[in-house]
Amino acid sequence: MRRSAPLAPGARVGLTTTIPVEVVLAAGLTPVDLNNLFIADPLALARVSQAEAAGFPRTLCAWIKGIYAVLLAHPEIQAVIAACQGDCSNTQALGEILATEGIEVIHFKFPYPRDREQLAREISALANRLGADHEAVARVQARLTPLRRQLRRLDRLTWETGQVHGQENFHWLISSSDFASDLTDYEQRLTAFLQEAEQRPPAANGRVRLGFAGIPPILTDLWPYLEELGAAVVYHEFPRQFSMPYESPDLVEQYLRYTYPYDIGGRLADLKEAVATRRLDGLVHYTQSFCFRQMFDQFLRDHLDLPLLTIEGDRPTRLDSRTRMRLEAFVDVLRP
Amino acid sequence: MSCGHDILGAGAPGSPRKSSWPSPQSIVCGLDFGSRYVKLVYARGQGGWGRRKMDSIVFYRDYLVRVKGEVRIDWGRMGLPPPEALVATGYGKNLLKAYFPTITEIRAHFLGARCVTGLDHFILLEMGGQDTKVLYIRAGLVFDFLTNDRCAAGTGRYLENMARFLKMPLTEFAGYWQDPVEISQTCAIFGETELVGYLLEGVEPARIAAGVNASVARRALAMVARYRCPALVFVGGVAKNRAVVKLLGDQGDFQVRVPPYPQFNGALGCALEAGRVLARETP
Repeated sequence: MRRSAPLAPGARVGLTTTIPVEVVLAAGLTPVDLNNLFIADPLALARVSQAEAAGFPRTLCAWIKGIYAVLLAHPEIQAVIAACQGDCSNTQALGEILATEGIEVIHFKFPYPRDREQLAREISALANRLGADHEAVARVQARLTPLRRQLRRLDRLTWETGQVHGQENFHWLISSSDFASDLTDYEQRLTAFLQEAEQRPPAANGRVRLGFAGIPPILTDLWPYLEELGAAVVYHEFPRQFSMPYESPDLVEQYLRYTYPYDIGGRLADLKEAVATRRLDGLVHYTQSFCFRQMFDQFLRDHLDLPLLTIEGDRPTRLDSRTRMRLEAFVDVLRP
Repeated sequence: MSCGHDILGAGAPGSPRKSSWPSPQSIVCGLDFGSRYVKLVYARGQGGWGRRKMDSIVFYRDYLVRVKGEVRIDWGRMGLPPPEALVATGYGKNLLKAYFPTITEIRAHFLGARCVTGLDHFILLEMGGQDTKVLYIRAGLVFDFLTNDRCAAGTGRYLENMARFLKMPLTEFAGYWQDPVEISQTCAIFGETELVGYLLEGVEPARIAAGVNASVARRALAMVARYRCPALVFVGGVAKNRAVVKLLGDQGDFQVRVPPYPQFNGALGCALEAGRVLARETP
């Protein structure tokens, strides 16, 4: 296993989830969210089978298998930042397997429970390893401030006026974890998109307003189907979190308020606020087969006072007929 | 269309059966195209409701005709007059949706059960051929619902297979609840393997049937337990299984009510909706 050699300028570094991307950019490296790389791959479904053929169990989250297999297809990615705390233990095991296969695995730990000092130390350690100094990180953070504001604007145009559609909201927010590996291009495209979206007429009232709780759905045709049913998705819990919705001049604070890696209490507060502010009629709880977060389903039902439909996805496929039937019935009962 | 409320006892011995549902006001029909059976509830020319249950495959093969690329129901062959309005639901509804209004199964069962019970606050458990649905009705509206996971264990088809495996008529199978063996497998396929094990140990088939019924009730209870409510209305074909009804009542903290003709609840909901459709079209 190679250790601590400096990474070449511009080198592509894989991320297993959203981590302080400011540090990666400040080090002059190119972040690649491996989840997005996997799911955008035309061979995504085959990648899962490929990982199973390599010995990964059938009863394991398909995102982990997808990340593993997509990395094999991208030999240019020689280093991966793995969130080995604040995500699942499967990621930790994946990191170990990748390390034995010659990929450098840089660990990042979101403190559990949430702890400001520990998080500050983790961010410093990551900066040291990647060779980013404090000033450079601060510069990147300032550089990202207007971009993150634009993402907040995009989110508002989704739930306030409906000028941005659910699938567009999902697409832009989910790819803000690595800015689609090209910050300048992402920003230009986002600016152009917002200019166009702001010219659209506001969406008509009377649509069922849905929110999505949970990790990003692996299913490929959710949004067009919901649109067909007359529902508007105006909230995506984790994709919104990936975009860093709370502005703060303090990087540690920003990643401390980020709910994904911490306890369910933080998520619940975020969800409750969204239910109220965005006037949600119902919440779809997306769960991933074999994911520990499935355990929180009943907790969310018990603590959120609105109709909640739980759906489950395993592999990157289209919606199966049962899930379609359930979504149709859910939208139907919520229709005013 | 009016809906009587005091009708739960209508299926009891001695009471006239045709009075168990509210009288239809027009010639309407509800069709529930399920995975095992097609259920029809139709208004009879002479008043009152008629019901008909057909194997889904037989219905598809013998009573659906294609005329110039359109799917039609062969009413003549079925011996029924064509209805003035028909609403369909069920897994097969997509086949018919270009020709008839359709509603979701959730709505169909909600409409049927609310009409026959008159309740505003209840849990509705529907156990059909291949899935289980639990609806939570609050203030007269569907507040939430659940359906079972992808496995067919614990559904009507599973019970049928297990009865067939034990070479026991389904009605006899459905009467056993005493001294059940423990069925631990939740899988329909491995469940059978477990049954073989018990048979080879010399366990009485009645106890094995009781064990299967208990496992089905247990799975339903796990879903129903998500909601706190003193009334459980149980519909769908499995509601005719006396053992499952008894076990649910014994183990749940609610009163179980099985309306008459529970298997036709979804079709009734469609027939009621068809009445509304007709009322909208002919002011």
